[in-house]
Amino acid sequence: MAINFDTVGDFKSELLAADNSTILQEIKIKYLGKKGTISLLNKELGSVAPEERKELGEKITAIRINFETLYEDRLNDIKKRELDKKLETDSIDVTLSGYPFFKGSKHPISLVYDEVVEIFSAAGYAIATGPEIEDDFHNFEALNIPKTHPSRDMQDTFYIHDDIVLRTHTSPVQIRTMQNQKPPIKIIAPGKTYRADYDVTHTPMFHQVEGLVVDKNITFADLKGALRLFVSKFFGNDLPIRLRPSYFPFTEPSAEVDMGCVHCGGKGCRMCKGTGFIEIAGCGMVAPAVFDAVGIDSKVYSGFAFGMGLERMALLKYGIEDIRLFYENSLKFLKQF
Amino acid sequence: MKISVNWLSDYIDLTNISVKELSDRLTGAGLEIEGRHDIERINNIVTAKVLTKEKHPNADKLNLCKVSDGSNEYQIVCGAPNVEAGQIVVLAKIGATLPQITIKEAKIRDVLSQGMLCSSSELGLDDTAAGIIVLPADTKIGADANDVLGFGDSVLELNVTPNRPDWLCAVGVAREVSALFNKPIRLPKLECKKTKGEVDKYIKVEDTDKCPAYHARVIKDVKVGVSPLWLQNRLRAAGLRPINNIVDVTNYVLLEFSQPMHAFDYDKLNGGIIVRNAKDGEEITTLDGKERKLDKDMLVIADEKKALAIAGVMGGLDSSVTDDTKNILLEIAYFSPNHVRRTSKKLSLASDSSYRYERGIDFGACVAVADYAAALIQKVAGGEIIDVSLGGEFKKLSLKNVTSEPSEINKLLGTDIKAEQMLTYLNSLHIESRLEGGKIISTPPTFRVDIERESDIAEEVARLFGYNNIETTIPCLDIDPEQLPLNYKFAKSVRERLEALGFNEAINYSFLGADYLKIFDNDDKKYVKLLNPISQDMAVMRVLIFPSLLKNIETNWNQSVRSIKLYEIAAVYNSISKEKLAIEKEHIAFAVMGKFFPIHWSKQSEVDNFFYLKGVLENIFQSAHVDYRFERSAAYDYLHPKRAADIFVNDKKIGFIGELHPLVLEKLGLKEKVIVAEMQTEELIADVKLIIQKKYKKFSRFQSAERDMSIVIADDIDSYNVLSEVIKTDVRIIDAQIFDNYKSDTLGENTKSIAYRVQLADMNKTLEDDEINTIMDNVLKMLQTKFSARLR
Repeated sequence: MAINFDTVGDFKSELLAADNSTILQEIKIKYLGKKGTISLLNKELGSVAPEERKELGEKITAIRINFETLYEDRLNDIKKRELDKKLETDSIDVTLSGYPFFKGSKHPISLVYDEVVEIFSAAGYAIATGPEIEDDFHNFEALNIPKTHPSRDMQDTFYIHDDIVLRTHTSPVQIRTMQNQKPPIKIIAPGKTYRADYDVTHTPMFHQVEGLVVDKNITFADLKGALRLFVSKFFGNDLPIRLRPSYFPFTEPSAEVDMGCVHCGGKGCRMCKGTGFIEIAGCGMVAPAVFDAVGIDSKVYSGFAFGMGLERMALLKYGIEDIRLFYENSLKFLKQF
Repeated sequence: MKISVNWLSDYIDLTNISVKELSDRLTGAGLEIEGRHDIERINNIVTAKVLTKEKHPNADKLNLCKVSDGSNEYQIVCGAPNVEAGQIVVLAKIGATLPQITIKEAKIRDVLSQGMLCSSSELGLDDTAAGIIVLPADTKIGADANDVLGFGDSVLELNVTPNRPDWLCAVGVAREVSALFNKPIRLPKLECKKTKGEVDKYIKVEDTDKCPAYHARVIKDVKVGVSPLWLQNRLRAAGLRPINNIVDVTNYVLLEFSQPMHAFDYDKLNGGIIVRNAKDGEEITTLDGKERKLDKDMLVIADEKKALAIAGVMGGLDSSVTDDTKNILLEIAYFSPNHVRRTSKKLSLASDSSYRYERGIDFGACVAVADYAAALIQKVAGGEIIDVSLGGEFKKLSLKNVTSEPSEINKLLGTDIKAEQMLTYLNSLHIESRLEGGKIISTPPTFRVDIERESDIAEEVARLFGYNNIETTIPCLDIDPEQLPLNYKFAKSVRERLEALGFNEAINYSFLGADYLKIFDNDDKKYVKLLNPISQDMAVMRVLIFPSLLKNIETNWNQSVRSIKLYEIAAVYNSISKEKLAIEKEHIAFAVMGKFFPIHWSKQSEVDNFFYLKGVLENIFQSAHVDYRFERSAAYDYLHPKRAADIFVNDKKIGFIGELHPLVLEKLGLKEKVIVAEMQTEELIADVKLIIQKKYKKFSRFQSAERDMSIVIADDIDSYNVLSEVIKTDVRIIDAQIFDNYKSDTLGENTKSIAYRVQLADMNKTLEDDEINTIMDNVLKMLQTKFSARLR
């Protein structure tokens, strides 16, 4: 008895016509299920003469493989199309803002403070601190600013008592350091300072950083080197530095430090009042009277000191015009940093 | 101090030196030019004579003048009340461009006016509106009025440092210019012709420490009047108002030589001049019209009856020169700087004299300046200088020689300047110096009171060598680099953490108002108070930081910012006693208002601020590796009694967190609830050290199990206590967290439900179910016993 292959049916057209995985599954059952037309062929194989069985068997297998191949192809096709469709509907607006882990901010003075500490720390300076409420000795007397001298009038001092003041500069930290430590000394002292002055260019509280280096053979040329280092790291390499003779009771020789204007590069602008230079620091060689006050022998040791205002650094760095903005703490300002 | 370039050019030839170059060189030498004001020349202004003056036919207050400049006659309508025929005046002709107006031919009330007679304010000289300028009768007419008025000049504003009082005068600045430009200086000279005459007054100095030198000159038969124009011009350019020829000369000489002087009305002196200490409570009315009460440390210039002047500070009103003065006694003295400063400070009275005496004047020049000033008075006010020596030097004043070593100077500067070059620099500054055995011996001139030791000499050498010609080297020290201080490291890491967590750092002034601080801490015994605050709002050093942040919240609210998360790290100050330094401790404070997250499409913005801020604090504590806990507290008046907690770190109370009390909110005018926290950082920083020693803990590598348990307990039991007991029950409980916390009527009164998830693991194996169940049973038993809990 022969096998009637016509009963199998036209699975090829059916598979090609199927457009979703459900129909495809139904077709698979129709052909390969228990009662599927291809499965039924195998049952008929039992009634075939043994000598024909091998040949017919192979033919049935070929039909099955043909079906399965076509089925797999079709299934992959449909899956891909279905996935494409799903991906399409998954669309999100990627421009919506992310979850609100909004960044906060550090105060611009803190940013400058950190930067200054980093620069000097990398250059081997230790960080020293001292009290903000100081006694007259550390803030004035030891710094060669006696009560009887007009140099006292250079600073408007907040008094707490006759001999207790809010420190007017970070220089008392110089004194405290030299009282407690033998040379070599290489420190910076950043911190809050106070003067009774309040207008567009002055706030009653401000920040300074003081530098002090004391050892044998420290020179004015070394002082220039330290300033050069700072200006080049903080503002960039190309700005010139200019020193002008000046007067501070605790240094001699003393100098004001000007650097090329960060805004016009030296051509002259409103910021530098047309001079091309901006004053950034005061400095000098530690005065012998200061060494005398702390018991360091000025015949053996020499040293330099410098001081600058962090507000000024921040004003220059960020182009801020009114110093009072630093202490208003408007978030519209703070969030910009 | 102000000085005009024209004045300087009296002493130095400044041709071919621009004002800019002059300014730059002086600034570069340490005499900072802070500002410059140019007195511009004005075109078409001439000196002219008023020939006639008639009433204007159509206006009561106007006059019609005929004016001549020598070559032409002009008809001028003039409104000045002081115009008279015969006066020499300044005529602005048609086309003259004055600071405010340009002169055109005009009809004023139908009468032709061919120019304008100028007042000093119209010429930009000053603000006085007292009518037209009347020039001295001997002024040549038809001359360019610019020259007569001293126009075409530049006024330099000098910032003189306290160490250089010699720069407080024209001659001193000229000396510096002379050294800088290497040009000769011509010092002013006047011959002092003295006449024999009677002087019935004496000079007696009782305190020669405070007054080592007192010289007097008597000039008789002077004519007090208006100063000549050149003198007026000089004073005006320096910012002084001309008064009369006698006072003007004393001011002029002050500005020229920095020698203060005082002119007494000779005829008002009773007996003589007695320089003595004041009596306690003695009174004097000073030239500014104010009554001053003196004490016995203050030196006065007195006659036999009363004090006439406060020595070196200010003259008295009674003995001052008036228009009727005929004879004058001129004081040229040297008062001790310390004494003048003390007196000036005590009286809160400063003057151009006290300013100079405090800093130190040129004591060596007193006698010469006395003769010069007397001669100048004679020149401008006539009279006879009486040839009688009054007063003198009572204590020898001198400056010490300074010895310095060229090698030491070079060592300090890092230079290699030859000793001979140093001598050249010093001598050009009139510091007479010579080499002796390799050392420089310098004799400072009497005006250089600042030259005291080698470093002063080094500074002068460096200044003239040029700071900018010194090379730049890097100091090389044999010193080990140090770690950054722990408190700095901590603050920096916290600032970074808080920046990532969305907080904005604030920095506020360290002072607040006492009344404001009292809302938060009324123990004012520990307040550190400023004696001279900027205002009462800035009078007390902070004992807490967050009150400042509340002010920042208000500022931001007014700027329409509605989501505010601020923090500040700063010191607080506690007074021990007025005479001692305060205790300064670092705090960190927070203040949060409004939505923690601003509006967001994901609807994630509703966050309970208390727990958010608490989470932030926990984050900080975890990063500091400290043990911490929060304990309910009602101890803070300014916090919500049921929404506040103390913060404990390593079992030490370091601060608090809480919601601001509604009454405080109302008092401060804050519109939404605010969560604040503040704590000391000390305990957190101390632990940074411990991290280094912290050893790692072994952990279980087996699967862990989780079990949830829901219990009902009394409302007033804090969940932290429950959790810590749960964890203590068995070592295999490695964590427990609450995932639900609610109250409901169905649970019963004063009770709440908490549900927590327990994580369990064993170091050596995976836990079996029955082992877990046993542990959980034990937990429940413990809860029943300790907290009367029931399973829900």
